[in-house]
Amino acid sequence: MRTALSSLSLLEPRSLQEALSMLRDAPGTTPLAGGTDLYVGLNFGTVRETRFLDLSRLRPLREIALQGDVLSIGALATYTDIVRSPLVAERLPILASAAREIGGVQIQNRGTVGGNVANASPAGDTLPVLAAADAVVVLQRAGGSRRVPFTGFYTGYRKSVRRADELIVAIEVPPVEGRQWFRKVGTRAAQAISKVVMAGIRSPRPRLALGSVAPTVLRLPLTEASLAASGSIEEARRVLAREIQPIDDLRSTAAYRHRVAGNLLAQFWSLPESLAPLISRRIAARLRTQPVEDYRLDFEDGYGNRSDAEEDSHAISAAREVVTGMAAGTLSSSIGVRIKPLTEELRARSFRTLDLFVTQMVRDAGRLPDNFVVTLPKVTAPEQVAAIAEIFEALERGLSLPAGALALEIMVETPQSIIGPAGEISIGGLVSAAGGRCLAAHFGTYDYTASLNITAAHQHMLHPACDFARHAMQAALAGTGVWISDGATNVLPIPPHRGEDRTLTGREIARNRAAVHAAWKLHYDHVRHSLANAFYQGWDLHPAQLPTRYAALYAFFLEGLDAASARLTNFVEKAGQATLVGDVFDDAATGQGLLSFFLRASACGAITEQEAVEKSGLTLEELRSRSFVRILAGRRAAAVRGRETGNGSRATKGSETAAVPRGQLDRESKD
Amino acid sequence: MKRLLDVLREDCALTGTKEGCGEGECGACTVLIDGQAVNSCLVPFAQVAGSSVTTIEGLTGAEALQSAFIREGGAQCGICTPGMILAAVALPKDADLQDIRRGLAGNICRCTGYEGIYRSLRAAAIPARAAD
Ligand SMILES: Cc1cc2nc3c(=O)[nH]c(=O)nc-3n(C[C@@H](O)[C@@H](O)[C@H](O)COP(=O)(O)OP(=O)(O)OC[C@H]3O[C@@H](n4cnc5c(N)ncnc54)[C@H](O)[C@@H]3O)c2cc1C
Ligand code: FES
Ligand code: FES
Repeated sequence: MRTALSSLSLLEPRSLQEALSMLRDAPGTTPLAGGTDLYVGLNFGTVRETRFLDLSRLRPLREIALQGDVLSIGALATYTDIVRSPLVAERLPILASAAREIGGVQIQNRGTVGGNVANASPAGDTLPVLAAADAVVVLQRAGGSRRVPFTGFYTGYRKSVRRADELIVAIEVPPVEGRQWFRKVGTRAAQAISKVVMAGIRSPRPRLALGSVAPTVLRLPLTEASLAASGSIEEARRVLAREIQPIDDLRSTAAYRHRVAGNLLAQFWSLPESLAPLISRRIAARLRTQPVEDYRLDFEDGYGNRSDAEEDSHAISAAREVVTGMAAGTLSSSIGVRIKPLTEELRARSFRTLDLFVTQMVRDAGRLPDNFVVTLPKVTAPEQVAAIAEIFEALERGLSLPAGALALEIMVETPQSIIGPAGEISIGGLVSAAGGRCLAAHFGTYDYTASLNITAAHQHMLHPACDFARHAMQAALAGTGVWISDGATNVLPIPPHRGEDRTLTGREIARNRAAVHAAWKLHYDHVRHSLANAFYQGWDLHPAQLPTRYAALYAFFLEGLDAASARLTNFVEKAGQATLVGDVFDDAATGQGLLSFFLRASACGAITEQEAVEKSGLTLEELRSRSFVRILAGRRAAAVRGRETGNGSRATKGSETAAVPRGQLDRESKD
Repeated sequence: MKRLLDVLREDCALTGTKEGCGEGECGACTVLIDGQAVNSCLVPFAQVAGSSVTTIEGLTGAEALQSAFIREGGAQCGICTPGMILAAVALPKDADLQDIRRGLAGNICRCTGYEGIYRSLRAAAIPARAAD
């Protein structure tokens, strides 16, 4: 210890106002936060100042909070606070990564982010993170405050725009879009000052900052622009080499730092770009424009068994609500009603509700809503389907509706609806018993697994028994144009603790958040499973399931987009050559499958039609023809014409033929 | 502006807390403030007013860990040992080897090569809570 510490004075303000007045009134006073820089200097005799201002009592400056959309980190937040903060983990996880690599536990418990920023060392590990995240330094003095963008904060080696009478009170971080990346290179993992430290945000507008390669932390606008423009890593490395000015010092050499900085850049750029921001924008757009595509009014399990009078009155009031929606134009693009199953006990009730509901609707509105459908649950035998088809006919006659106006969906949720009495697959028979009225078959997870004696804990969408049922449905209905739909996730994303008459405790909030996240993850995984198995439609039970439905849907298509794009382009080319030389091209099904991928992706909003055109390498007309065979025929005709006229145009004429049923593409979600 | 370390050693005559580097690197001066491990060579005494400070002398409930250090070769010259034990006591209850390595990264030992120390911690299944 070289400084006689007892000769130094320490002011101990109790509030921020008091601290700021002291700084104003006693020039030459040095703020003291965790002391992890200052005391090293004092112990070594390199600190000249003699009067200090203790910030440690200014508790409010330790808070980490969201202010609107901005993450505000109090200057006195320690590295340990940052590592433990759920907000930092959510908003700026690379700040926690940096904090975790600073010093050892003892330093993390004391060192503050404000101290790291104020200390202005070019090797400060949080600085590249804050620079890349476009953070803002909030400075306060007695009677005023100002916000300085991080990139304008430092003016030279260990110099900043902070005036002697100002304190750093907080660092503000706006929302960050893109994948965050942090890497520190030092002599060992802990307790080592960085030789080179880099933070980056991977997005269409990449952001990069480096520490220990110049007198101050550096944002790298030229390297960023080069990456954004060309994406060529070789070119970006050359730009980077000109943009940094590393030096030889006792920790490393300029040559080594040049090399490591270039390698870090390459590592950063090799990360796949995160799809999350794009997906989140598209979900938001989708929820604004068309959150629900299809809707069912339920008189079965969700409604339960009630008195006849009550169900009668609800059938009528529900019909009136639908009519109101028709008039106001607020209905989803298709809508329907689910009645009770046609068992001995419930058949009469089921028909009565159907009759009351449809009759009331047609009487009040003069017609059925667009794309109206009746869902029949727990189908066990073709006779039930035939019976309801007869009721439909009678209703159509009685209400003067066009023949065939009433459409049916069956729910496949009993073992009998998969395998019939003689061991045959029964779904086809169930569908044909409807005489062309059956548009869709829906899988029902919970009744199906329960009838197979699967215990409640194992009744979920991913149970292999469900896969068997779905595969049977899929194979039996392939090519029939009957839509297939998967079941619902019954664990709902709703918080267990409600704060009806009091505010929730921190623990309760944390538990609520965990429960909602877990339910979302489960739903997301279920939908991804459905999609991987080509069940492009599914049911949701709660509006809070819609974000994860679209997240799964959009991630599914966007993740597969580049691969599908390469394959389709290749395929169209090969097929074109084969047809040109007169070979038979026998793999049209694969081509159609690839084409359908693009059609589905754009129908559900994962990509725009324009993107589908670009990525598929087809023309808009070709895409809209929806038929791979037609596209090939069109290209061959064009090539022949081109040969005749010496012009190789690829344009083809549009076609009305739909090789994939249109409706199937237009409905991806059912609520 | 006195350091906590000096107050402990000189004014309180509690010399169990050691000074190694005096710059936060070695962890020999580790004590607990309100249960958190810190380097007392970097802590202004004024900042601990109203807090509880635990040194090796006041640590209770860590006997199993302390005898494991003796038994398993966790201590040789002993200069790092008080700081090592206080840092170990502050580790989370369910710490695995990785957490132990991280949690003790700020404590340097020039004798044992660390293996004896990790062995001691595992043998004692660490915790012992800091007493006030
Ligand atoms: C052993 C050891 C290892 C370390 N390892 C790393 C590492 O790996 N990476 C790294 O980046 N850093 C490292 N550091 C330094 C790191 O601990 C500090 O930079 C720390 O963040 C400073 O915060 P503090 O609260 O301790 O600041 P103090 O030491 O209290 O103050 C530091 C400077 O900032 C000023 N100051 C503090 N707070 C404010 C404020 N609110 N407003 C205005 N001025 C203020 C002070 O006047 C002083 O000039 C290490 C330090 C040690 C001792
Ligand atoms: S003496 Fe305090 S860390 Fe070395
Ligand atoms: S036992 Fe000697 S330094 Fe650790």
